[in-house]
Amino acid sequence: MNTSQRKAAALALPLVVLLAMVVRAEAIVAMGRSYILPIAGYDPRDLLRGQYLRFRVEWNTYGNRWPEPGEGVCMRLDAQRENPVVRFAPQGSDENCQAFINPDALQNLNQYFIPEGTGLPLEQAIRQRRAEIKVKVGRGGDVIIEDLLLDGEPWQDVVNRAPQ
Amino acid sequence: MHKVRLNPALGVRMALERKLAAWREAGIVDAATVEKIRAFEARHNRPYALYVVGGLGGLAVVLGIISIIASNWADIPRGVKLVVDLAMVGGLAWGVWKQDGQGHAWQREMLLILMWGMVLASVALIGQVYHLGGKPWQALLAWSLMTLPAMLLFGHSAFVALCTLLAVNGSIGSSLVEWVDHVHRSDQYVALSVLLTVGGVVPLLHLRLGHSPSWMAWRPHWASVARGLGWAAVLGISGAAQQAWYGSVHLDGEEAQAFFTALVPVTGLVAWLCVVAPRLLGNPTPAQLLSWRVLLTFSVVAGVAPVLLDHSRAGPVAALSFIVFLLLVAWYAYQHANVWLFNVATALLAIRLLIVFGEMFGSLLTTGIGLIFGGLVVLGMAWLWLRQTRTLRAEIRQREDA
Repeated sequence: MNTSQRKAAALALPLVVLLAMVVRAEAIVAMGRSYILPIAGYDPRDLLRGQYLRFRVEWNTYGNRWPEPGEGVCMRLDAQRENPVVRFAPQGSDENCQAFINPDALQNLNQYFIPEGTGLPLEQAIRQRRAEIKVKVGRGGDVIIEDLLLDGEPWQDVVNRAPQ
Repeated sequence: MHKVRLNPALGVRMALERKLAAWREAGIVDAATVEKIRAFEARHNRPYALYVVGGLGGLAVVLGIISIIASNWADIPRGVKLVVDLAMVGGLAWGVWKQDGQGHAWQREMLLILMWGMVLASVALIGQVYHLGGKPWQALLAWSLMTLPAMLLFGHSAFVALCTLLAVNGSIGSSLVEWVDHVHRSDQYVALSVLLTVGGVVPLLHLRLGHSPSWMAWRPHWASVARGLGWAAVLGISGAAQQAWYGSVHLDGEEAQAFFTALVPVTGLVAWLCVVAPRLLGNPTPAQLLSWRVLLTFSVVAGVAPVLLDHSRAGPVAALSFIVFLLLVAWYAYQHANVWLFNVATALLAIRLLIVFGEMFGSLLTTGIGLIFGGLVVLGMAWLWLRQTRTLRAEIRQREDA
């Protein structure tokens, strides 16, 4: 590889990586299994990075426990789309899963970005309604949050309808 | 008397023009020499202020674009956000390529910095668009690694080198802290050993890189920045460690084991650097070589001793150790003709001596006597410093002429 080719490759590398990130996410959106999960524990934050709604998923599982470090979430084979019954298991330990959320993705499933100026109306709307997240789970165990739902409707529709 | 017409059109700094006018008036240089000096300065002028101002301007543009996108977030479709973002990154990359091909150094460096910042913004944007979550260290590490080849191959300036090295060190450091925090709960020894080893070895590796002949030939500014960062870290850690003498220290168990474990690679690397120093420093004089080796070794010993040796409050040891440390820094700076470092070291030495007199005495009377004595010592040092810097500058000129 001569100098020009090396330089071209160096400039192309960030673009290729960014494109790969987008393609990977779009593949999960297009081909992943869709689930609706109830959430709780809201704590809007508003600083330099923008606003994030922080939450925790209320997993529908037998027994009252949280996933241990290193455990992912296995959607049982007979799991329904809404509020699926799940069990916690280490990655690769159980193949009888309709879909599996890996431990790393599970750790990051705790925040949802909300645009500037919508924190207060959203917080008010959440306190009065049932909140859920609509997710797509990819084959590799990654998760994309497609939307935040309030009483089954997209949150933006609810907030836009609410009296100012 | 000869009059010199100032010529700002050549881009030579006004201060230089005033000096040239003064020398010409005094008959020290003739008109031909004045022109030669102007031409030389114009070729070698490093527009640091231009880089900083340009960098700030570029950063403001990027932040402004991000703010506009964020303020209209809900109204902009996902696809549009991503296409515009990737187009901007692509456009900046093309700009860097073009400017590099045309030999426009300043434009290339500024576009490179803009592209560098834009890639980080893109990582954050993709995370937000898809609500990917993730920790900041993951984004920082991915960003610094994917942009490193471009920064190395296109960035020639010290500004680009400094930004890149700080970003790489920062992202690796934050990843390490995250990992240590994770491992610490189950194995304190491993976590502490890795943290101390990396903390001790990385500055030394910067020194090695900064003195690498191939690096100095290929990217002299990068080598200079690596040396500066390496020495700043070594001297900073060593200087800060002296504060431990003021407390009570008793290491045992896994903490002590971790320190001794980390000491092995660090002392090994210091020993190796001392052995290869003649090659690294490029034909140094015996005094230059000795000062380099002594300062490096003492920095590590002085940095480690207050933590590893059991002691209760030992203020006099702290004072003495710090004074010896600063004397060695001043000696090293003198031998290596680093006027700036020499001035800083002697200034800090003077301040530290004054503090010593404040530490050692108790009552107002004795403190007053101590401060008068200390002040006289510092005044004497200032006189010696003035003489020595003149001698140092003369010696630098002689070495350059030779």
